[in-house]
Amino acid sequence: MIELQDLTKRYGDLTALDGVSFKVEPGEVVGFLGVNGAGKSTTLRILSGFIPATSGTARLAGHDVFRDSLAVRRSIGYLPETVPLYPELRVSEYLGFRARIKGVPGARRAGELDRVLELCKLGERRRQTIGTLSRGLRQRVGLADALLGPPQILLLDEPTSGLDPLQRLEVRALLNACKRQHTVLLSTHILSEVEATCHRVLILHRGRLVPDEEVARLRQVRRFTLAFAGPEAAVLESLRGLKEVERAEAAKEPGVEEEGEGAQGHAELEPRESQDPRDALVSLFAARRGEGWRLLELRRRTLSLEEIFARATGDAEDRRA
Amino acid sequence: MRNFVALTRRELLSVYVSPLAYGAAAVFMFLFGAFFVVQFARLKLVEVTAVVEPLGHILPALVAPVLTMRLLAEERRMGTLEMLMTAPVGDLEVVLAKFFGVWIFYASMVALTAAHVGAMLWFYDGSVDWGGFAAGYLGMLLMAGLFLAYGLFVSSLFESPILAALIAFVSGLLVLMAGFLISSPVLVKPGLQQDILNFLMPFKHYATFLQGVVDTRDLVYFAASIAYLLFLTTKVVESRKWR
Repeated sequence: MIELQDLTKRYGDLTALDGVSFKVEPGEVVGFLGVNGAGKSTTLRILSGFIPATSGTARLAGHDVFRDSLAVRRSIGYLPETVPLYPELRVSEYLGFRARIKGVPGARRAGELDRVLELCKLGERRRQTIGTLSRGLRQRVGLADALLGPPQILLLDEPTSGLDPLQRLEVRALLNACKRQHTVLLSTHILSEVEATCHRVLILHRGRLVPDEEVARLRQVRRFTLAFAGPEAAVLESLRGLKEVERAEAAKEPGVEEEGEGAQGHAELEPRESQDPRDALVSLFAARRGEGWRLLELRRRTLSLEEIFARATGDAEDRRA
Repeated sequence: MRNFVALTRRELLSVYVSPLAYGAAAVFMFLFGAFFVVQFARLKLVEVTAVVEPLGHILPALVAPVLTMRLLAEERRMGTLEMLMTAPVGDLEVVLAKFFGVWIFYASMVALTAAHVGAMLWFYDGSVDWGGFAAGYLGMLLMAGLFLAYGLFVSSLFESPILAALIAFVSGLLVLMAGFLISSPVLVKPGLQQDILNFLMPFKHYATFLQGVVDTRDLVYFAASIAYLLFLTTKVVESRKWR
């Protein structure tokens, strides 16, 4: 549905996108992740036909973005990051105008307006002037606009930026509701959002895509966290001595009182290769039981998206250096 | 075509709720009233078309930049151009719609001058040259179209509406003044050079209309200059694609 091949964009000497290639299948919801300035907006602007790429190709819904821009624009709903709207128009006037230029036929227009207003919970606001709407409501008008058509593909540039947590939840629910109908590519730097809505993550860093295999590999990485009683330094020393353990660090558990009944320690373990250190841990603590060592808690977990992101972009930095 | 209608409708919706447009219309009517009184007293009703003459040069030179300054500069500054250009509409359609939208608004301001003219005719007992009158109004609307197209072009070059208005105003006034000077037989020796300069300047073409003559050459002049300015504007809007 969306296919990029070696897409590159230079602004003068600055390379904003450097040979980005990826594919999004029909019905997929893909999150586009990156820090500010990573090239997310540039990519979406190229896909929406607003600016051309320096080189490379992009196809949306089977049409080339550069050669067949109008056909592409007919099949997308695009929400730019800043949600630009005409402040002097009423919500219904604005959406009516957008429906017209998007080619929604007259007979279907009123129903289509009702549909998107309903979806975005804007029904009561249809007579209100856009200039008087709050940031969150404007965002919803922008989303309603993007949903008009309805388009096959949604390109959303940070659809929840600048919203308060409650509004963010609402937008997220909205996205989840329209998942089935559209192929969605949304950019964000809020990781929890991607986890909540997307099937797949693309990480963009300094104009380059972190390879999918890299992300998949990071998703396989396991961590073990444990809580124990006993002398912290000595316990960590023995943990590091285990052959299954690559690294062991003291960890702080937020919100846990560190006083009373024999200070509790916390540690985080990175296993060597993909070994499971749990048996070894249990025997270690059993052997030192006499010295007051107790294994209080042991948990295996995957990396959070934050960690994956930090490692992916950090690694990319290392490779560059 | 359907896009063009929708886009023009949007332009009209925006301009008719814009305080700025009403401010411009108020200034327009005030100035027109002032000119009207002066001309009316001076001409003693000898020549009806002369009374509406300022409608075609000094008034659009003043008012057009205010009406056009935001058309593209503001869209670019606010980012709404991005919304517009990522919808399935052509650049030319957008430019044409903006031009016709603001031209229609201008025409509706001009329509208000019917009150003055009506009042004048109430007291006038000679026979009215309706044809000449219509020619004068047509010429005046074409002049306004030229100024509006020029203002739109300047607006496409800048992100600041104020800057666009200022530049359109000053340069428009310079052209107007140059036209007055060139057409004066005292300052410029009559001959081929003066004819060429006069042909390039809009003022002389307007003067023909005021005499009650609708000449194809003048119609072509206005149509071609407006079309050329709109073409340039479209190219500027498109230029984001090759920068």
